[in-house]
Amino acid sequence: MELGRKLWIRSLVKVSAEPIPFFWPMRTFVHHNPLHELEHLDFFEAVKEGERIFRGRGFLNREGYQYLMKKGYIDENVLKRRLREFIRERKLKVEGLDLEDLLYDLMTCEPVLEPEDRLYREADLKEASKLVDFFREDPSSWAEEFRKSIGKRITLPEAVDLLTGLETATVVDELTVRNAISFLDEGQASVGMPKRELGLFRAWKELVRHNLRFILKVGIKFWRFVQRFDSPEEAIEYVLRDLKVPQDLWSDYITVDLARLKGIVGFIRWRSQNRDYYWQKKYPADVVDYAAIRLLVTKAVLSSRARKVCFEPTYEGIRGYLESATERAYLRYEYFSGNAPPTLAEKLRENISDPLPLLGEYLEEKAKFRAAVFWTFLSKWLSRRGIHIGSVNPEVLKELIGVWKTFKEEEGKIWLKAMEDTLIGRLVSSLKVKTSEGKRPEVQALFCIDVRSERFRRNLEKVAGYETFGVAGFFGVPMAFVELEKGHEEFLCPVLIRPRNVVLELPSEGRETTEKESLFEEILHDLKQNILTPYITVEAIGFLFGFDFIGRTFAPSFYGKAKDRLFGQRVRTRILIDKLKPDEIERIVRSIFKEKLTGILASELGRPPDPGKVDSLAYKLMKGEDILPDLEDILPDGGTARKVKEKIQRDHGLDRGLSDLMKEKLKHVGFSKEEQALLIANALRSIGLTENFARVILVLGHGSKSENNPYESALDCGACGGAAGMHNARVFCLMANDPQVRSILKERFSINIPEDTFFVPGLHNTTTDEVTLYDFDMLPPQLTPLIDEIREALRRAKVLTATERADELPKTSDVEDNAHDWSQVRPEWGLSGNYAFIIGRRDLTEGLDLGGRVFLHSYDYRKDPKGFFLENIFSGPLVVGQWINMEHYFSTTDNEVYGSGSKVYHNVAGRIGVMTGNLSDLRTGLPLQTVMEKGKPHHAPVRLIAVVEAPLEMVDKVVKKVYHIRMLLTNGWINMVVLDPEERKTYRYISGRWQALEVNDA
Amino acid sequence: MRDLNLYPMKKVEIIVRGEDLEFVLDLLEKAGISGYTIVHNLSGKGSHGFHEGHLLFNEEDTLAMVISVMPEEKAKAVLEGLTPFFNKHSGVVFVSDTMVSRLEKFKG
Repeated sequence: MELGRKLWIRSLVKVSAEPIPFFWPMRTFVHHNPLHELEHLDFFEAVKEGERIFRGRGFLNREGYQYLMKKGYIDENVLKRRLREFIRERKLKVEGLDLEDLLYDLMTCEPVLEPEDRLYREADLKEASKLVDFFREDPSSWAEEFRKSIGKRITLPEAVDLLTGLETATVVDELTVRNAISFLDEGQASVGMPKRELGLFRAWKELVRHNLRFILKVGIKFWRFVQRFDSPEEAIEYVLRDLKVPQDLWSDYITVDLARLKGIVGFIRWRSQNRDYYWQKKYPADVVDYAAIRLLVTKAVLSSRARKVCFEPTYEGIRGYLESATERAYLRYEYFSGNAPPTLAEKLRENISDPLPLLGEYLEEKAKFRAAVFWTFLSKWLSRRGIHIGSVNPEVLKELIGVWKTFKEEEGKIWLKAMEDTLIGRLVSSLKVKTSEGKRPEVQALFCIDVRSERFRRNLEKVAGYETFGVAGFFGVPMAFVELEKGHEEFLCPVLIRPRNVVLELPSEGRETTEKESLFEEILHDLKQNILTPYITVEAIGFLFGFDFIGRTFAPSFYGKAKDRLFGQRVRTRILIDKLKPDEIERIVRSIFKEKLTGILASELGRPPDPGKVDSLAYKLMKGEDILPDLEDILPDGGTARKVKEKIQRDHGLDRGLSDLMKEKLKHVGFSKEEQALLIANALRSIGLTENFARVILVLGHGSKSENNPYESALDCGACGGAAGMHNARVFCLMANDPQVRSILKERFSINIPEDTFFVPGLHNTTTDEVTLYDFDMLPPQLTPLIDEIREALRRAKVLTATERADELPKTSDVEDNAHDWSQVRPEWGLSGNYAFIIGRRDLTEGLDLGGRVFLHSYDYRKDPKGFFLENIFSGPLVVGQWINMEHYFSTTDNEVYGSGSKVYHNVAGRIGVMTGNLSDLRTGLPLQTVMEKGKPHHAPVRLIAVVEAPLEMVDKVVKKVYHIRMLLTNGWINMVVLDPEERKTYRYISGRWQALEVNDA
Repeated sequence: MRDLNLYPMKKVEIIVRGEDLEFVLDLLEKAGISGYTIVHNLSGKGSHGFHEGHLLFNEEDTLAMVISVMPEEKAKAVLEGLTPFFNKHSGVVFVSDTMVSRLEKFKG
């Protein structure tokens, strides 16, 4: 295959796979919009695309909206206004009928009235004949539609199944799922798939040779067939040509085909995008491999079933069949797709081998049947408004059916807009734009913007009068954290950012000192024990001292077990946040070289070598000088020396390149004082806290604790991939308490933090609402009484918050029990219910009960004249808020497709995600229990309502600057309301422009 | 300069959104191209209006440029491979003539 063509196929597949959203491995659950890749489209168009590609619904059904209306989420008048607007915009009119009245009644009547119930009154059959011509079907236009749907909505096996009643699509799915999960397994299977290091495509090629399931399902020749393809690209091109799919349909076909198992594909996409991911490095896979496997399996399954099918199972074969045997195909489709009315289906079944003689009768009967169904529906509907159907002209009825069809297509939109209007109106009218300048508060507390913080903040303010702030839960400190005993980095920041600085956690062994010099000596002294060593050596030379750190990291006995240390008994640790000096880096690398050389030479000599000579050897290796003379000096003869030289340089890779690589990595460790000051200044300025500092400022990360819950990390910080914000909080405080950092803050940023102000880190466990403080042993003793007071205040706020939450949890019970209850499917409601994101001063929402459903980001526009921090809030936290919001939205509107279904049937698969039952795709999105309660939506799905307190001109300028938010706003993925404190006016962004908003009239 | 032998090569510069960077790097690697330079966080104006880097919080939305030098036939293959991508995404690619002295570094 020519290189250009190969790259073309590769690129085509990757682009075609883009609509399929990323799937993060479960232990780092990241909330994500399942239609993220369609955000360049208008929201409502994207919903339609989602229906086409994934078959997912983007709106609740009518019952769902009615339920929310009863709960107060939708105001009657607002709904009427939105309905009126719809009728006006679509220019709908039916002579003699009040459409607004009829449609409003239809929307709100219970039980829901629909024609699809397949019920009709016998008596209506005769009357309904007046409508029969309206419902008559035409097999040739059906055939045209069906052909067009192949590759756009359905795959070839699905088309074959719809025409034949075979189940080829299921077989294709089953075979791909099994192989993909075996390959992707991260240590759950007792026997791993062999040769995975070859990569997905090649390992699979090896596997099919021995796979009995393949032999049984698709025949013994499959293996030989597959071996013809050296690369996945070749296989893809071969199969698509062989299945005679027109080339201009390839991209769409691949999209639809990959969307069938969107969890697995999403995971493979995520993995291949993350080159540093351990398992990706070890066992590489990408979506091109997967597409090739999927197509080869398709080809094999279809070929093996070809004898049972009366047409060639290819695109052209089906097209020919639809053209030459249109009526036959139509009747078979009607039967096998379940489209035929029950009475006719029976007849079709009996004659399915030769259904043609039935055609005339079938078309007539079906039209009659559907006419009767609609007649019954219309008569019920009209009679509710006092209209007798007999008195209405049949032509008018046909028009009404037309109106009803248009209405059905747009109904969700009307409900959604009405709900958003209601919520915006209510929220905005409860906010108060005011400025309160107070005296210095005793205590201030920084919380994550997470909706769950709102309750705790409100209660803490109430019981203790503390001042609280909301800020992104990584506190503006993006870092790669290397936890004690782990040899690899974990990114502690939103996935939007790739941290450049590495922070190391080291055991403190009870020593109180935080002096850096001694810390460095400790590292050097204890290279074998501390994490620094594997961190810089694993990639290059493997495990230096035989510790299998990776084993401990990647094979936890269960998800997040390591996290226990955050909550339970914790080893005292210290954190290395400062940069290493060049000579320190030099010494560390040299020590590692020496350690390694000593081992090699000792095994040659049978005794430990002279340390001085080893030192000089290490020096020369690192400088790239010839080491042969030194080796000849150490070892007995020249021949051995040459061999050992080879061993050192080639087998162990100890050379200048390695030394440079290790030094490079070590340079990323820590932050310079300037960097630290900049991070602290930015975080403080973005929340408007630049003066009036309290004596103690709590910096509280948050995490969640629940048992037997593979979704545990979804309950952790939503933005940070389920990483608890604890480490970021600790690092933030270390930096903010550093006198050198403070002096830079004062000089460069005019932020003057009083000497007696201390930052204290803590962790807010959102499942139990317990707050644990850390590192307070570093505080001066005179603060002890205040710390005790703070602890008491936190305890009281916990009780209030937990009581509030317990009222909403189904098992009334205690939140503590819920967290530890193994059978509890709903340890907390988490982020469920989130609907708004407020950016502004706490004064806006002070004392307001927002029910734990609103993200609160503190912001003071007066401290941000250029709009720089607003830009940051828009491009980071707000985007993450939108992800969380959309994930909840779609998991609610279609829990089967966009959510992960009921937890009760979940099985953990390959340690990466869950399946439903024994075998299914990896389930994406949120489980049923997170967003629904007894079949009704607990989460009210609306598009995020961003409320910004700042002058309109400034907000508009920032929106124009931040590409992503501009796109989300103009395409209708978020709502935005601006409270202009200068003009004292409220604006909402509606259809491309800012419109002044009367409060109470969203 | 008299002793310096220069060989003609193609310089390919590709500008894409940060989130598409992986795509480009994968393509170059699969083309057997051994080296490239990445410039992150670009600003500029194109058909979608002005783009500006927001490094502090979100890197995916910023633009990045990949610069690579390769023989002509590789450049052609890379361009063919980029076609499906640019049919759907914004971004630009420039190809220009350049010279290198150490040929073995660019043959791939």
